[in-house]
Amino acid sequence: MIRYRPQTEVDFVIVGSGGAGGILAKELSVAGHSVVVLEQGPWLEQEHTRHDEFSTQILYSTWNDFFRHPQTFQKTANDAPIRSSEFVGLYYGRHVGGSNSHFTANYWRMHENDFRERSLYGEHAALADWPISYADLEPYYTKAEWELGVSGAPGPFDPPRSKAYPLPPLPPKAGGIVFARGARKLGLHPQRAPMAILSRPYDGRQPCKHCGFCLGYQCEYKAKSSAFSAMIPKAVASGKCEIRPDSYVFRVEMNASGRATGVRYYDKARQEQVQRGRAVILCCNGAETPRLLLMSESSQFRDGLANSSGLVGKHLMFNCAAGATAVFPEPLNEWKSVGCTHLVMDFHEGDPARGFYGGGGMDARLDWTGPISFALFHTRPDAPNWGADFKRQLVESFSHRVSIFCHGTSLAVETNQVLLDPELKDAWGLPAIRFRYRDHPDDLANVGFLQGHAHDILQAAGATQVWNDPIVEQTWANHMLGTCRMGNDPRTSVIDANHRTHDVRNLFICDGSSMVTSSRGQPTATIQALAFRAADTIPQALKA
Amino acid sequence: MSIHRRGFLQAGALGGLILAGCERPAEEGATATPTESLSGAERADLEAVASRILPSDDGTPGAKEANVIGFLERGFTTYHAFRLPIVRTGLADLTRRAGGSFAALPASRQDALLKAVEQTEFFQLVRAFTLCGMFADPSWGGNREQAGWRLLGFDPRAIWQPPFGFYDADPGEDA
Repeated sequence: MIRYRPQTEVDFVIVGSGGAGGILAKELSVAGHSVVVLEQGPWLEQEHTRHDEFSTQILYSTWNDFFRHPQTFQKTANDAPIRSSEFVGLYYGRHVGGSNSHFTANYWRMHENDFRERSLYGEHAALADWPISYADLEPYYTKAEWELGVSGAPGPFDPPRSKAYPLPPLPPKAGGIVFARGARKLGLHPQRAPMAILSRPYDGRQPCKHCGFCLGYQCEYKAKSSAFSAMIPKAVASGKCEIRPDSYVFRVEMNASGRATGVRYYDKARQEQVQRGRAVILCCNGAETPRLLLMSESSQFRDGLANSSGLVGKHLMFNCAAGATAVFPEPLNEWKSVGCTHLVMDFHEGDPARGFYGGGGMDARLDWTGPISFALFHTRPDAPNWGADFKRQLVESFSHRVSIFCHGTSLAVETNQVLLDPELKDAWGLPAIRFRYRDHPDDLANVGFLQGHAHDILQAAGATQVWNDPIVEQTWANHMLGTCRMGNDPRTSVIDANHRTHDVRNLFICDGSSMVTSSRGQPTATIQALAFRAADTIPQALKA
Repeated sequence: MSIHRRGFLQAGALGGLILAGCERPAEEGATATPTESLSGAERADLEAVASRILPSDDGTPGAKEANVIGFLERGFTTYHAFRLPIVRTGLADLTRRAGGSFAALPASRQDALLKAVEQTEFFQLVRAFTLCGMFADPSWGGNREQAGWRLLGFDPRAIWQPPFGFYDADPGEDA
């Protein structure tokens, strides 16, 4: 891998190596630009793929931990802040590849109407139209599917596509089959799930071996089409891109004329370094990107960098969700193979007749990271949670159960936001993240509506037991969206349609923070399509 | 564990119990030399508690057969030593309630005493760690000979082929 000296002014400094940063690194370096990617966390290989649930999931060895990176949470500005812990916090992969290495790999496109919901449905909280349309993004959804490797088949509610999926769907799972059966009985239209997991050998990578360790793990076969597996090796092979791990950026450097000149970071030895670049692209996720902008305040930018709108960190969206769970007479063995294989998209579109904003998709899954999470979190909420009856429940249901997970919307609400904690610091002495979040009532109504259908589907499918998992207000997330939203008006958005910040001509942002609306609980395909598009628009914007 | 998108809903009472108060990443201490140790009585009582959370009365392996106590003892004296005071206080409380050795009581009496403390931080902590010890990779000291995994019917092999379960063997038009 090429190494650049920090003093060398490279074409692009990219902060963050995840689902968006990994794509931009590959696209820009293969196009001939010099690129340095600065990643907060380490470069993990085999140690990241071990099926050791206790180490990787319970002890956080591959996640941001709250010892070195504490956060605080408030429902509203009036509530006392709570320290982060399990179930209170913003969680993300803090290593080369980012959270994208851990995802279930659902790969849902947004639909045409999802880009213009303000126009279609009127005023709801801070709902806004996107400055781009589905047609603008479609070529890049296709590019993402083909560059990364997505397995799938067309569904009846899909938006138009210019090219078929590159790979056929993954083999169906038993949970998907009973889900599809129940849905058809109710007149719904189940379809195969598009997954960023290889069903056949592709681009020099091996197909899925069905081990069952997707969510929370990096795939040892590189069958999961993450940026880590599919993009970063190509960025490195270009000879133009350095991925620099253990590099914790805490300030965007600016000159007197208001241009970004590079970024300041702590290296592994916690020494300050400055990497110079002609342009800076932030791909740190919807929590860390606004945090970095707010930490970059100066006498020039008193409210934080690129924040003339005052909206940096605001409009935080999580993706509201709910589920129903069932036990079936015969074994499903959902603990094998990929997260899910079937979807129901009949309720994707919003419908004002329902009385609330929102829509969603459903999939059938076990939703676990291994046997520990099953035992800790997946027993019936109304059943004993220790003793002989608890043990019997574990044994009897382990291979016989599946959940329908309802992936909903979150409305943009201005008071839901990421900000800097006024007192708490992380282990580097940098301001900790504080976040405020309260689900909009429409979001809760929407997932309640979806959950009702999920329950009916499971009953129609012949389950012997069905229960609804309680719906509670969200206090934690790993989808952090909307905090530097895209728009044409500098007063109501942070970046323009080309991902350039309205305030700084050579500072760009591309990650979940760019999203104007929340998608239907599966933002990755959209974030990655935006990244492929940004790799085209950013060099053009710099030339103009 | 926070990536469970639904499971957390059922775990509200458990929130924070495994990691809250940790001052450093636990994995850094996983190979540490124990600085403290449980007394013989504490060890026996802790094992008895774990054995009521996952009992063996039905003839199938429980916490005892899976050596969950080995997992608990290692955790609470190394990477989770900072929680040891909670465990010690909870065990002392059980001793008081038992009027002597908790471990020596009949199972039904143990269950009744634990029922009375099941909302305490002590019990919730030991419950969570008992489940971890039953189902974690055996290298962590519990799940002896994969007793926990075999109990569930979980097979950790890394390669599977369809059909995975009953209903996908002949899916018909539902595929």
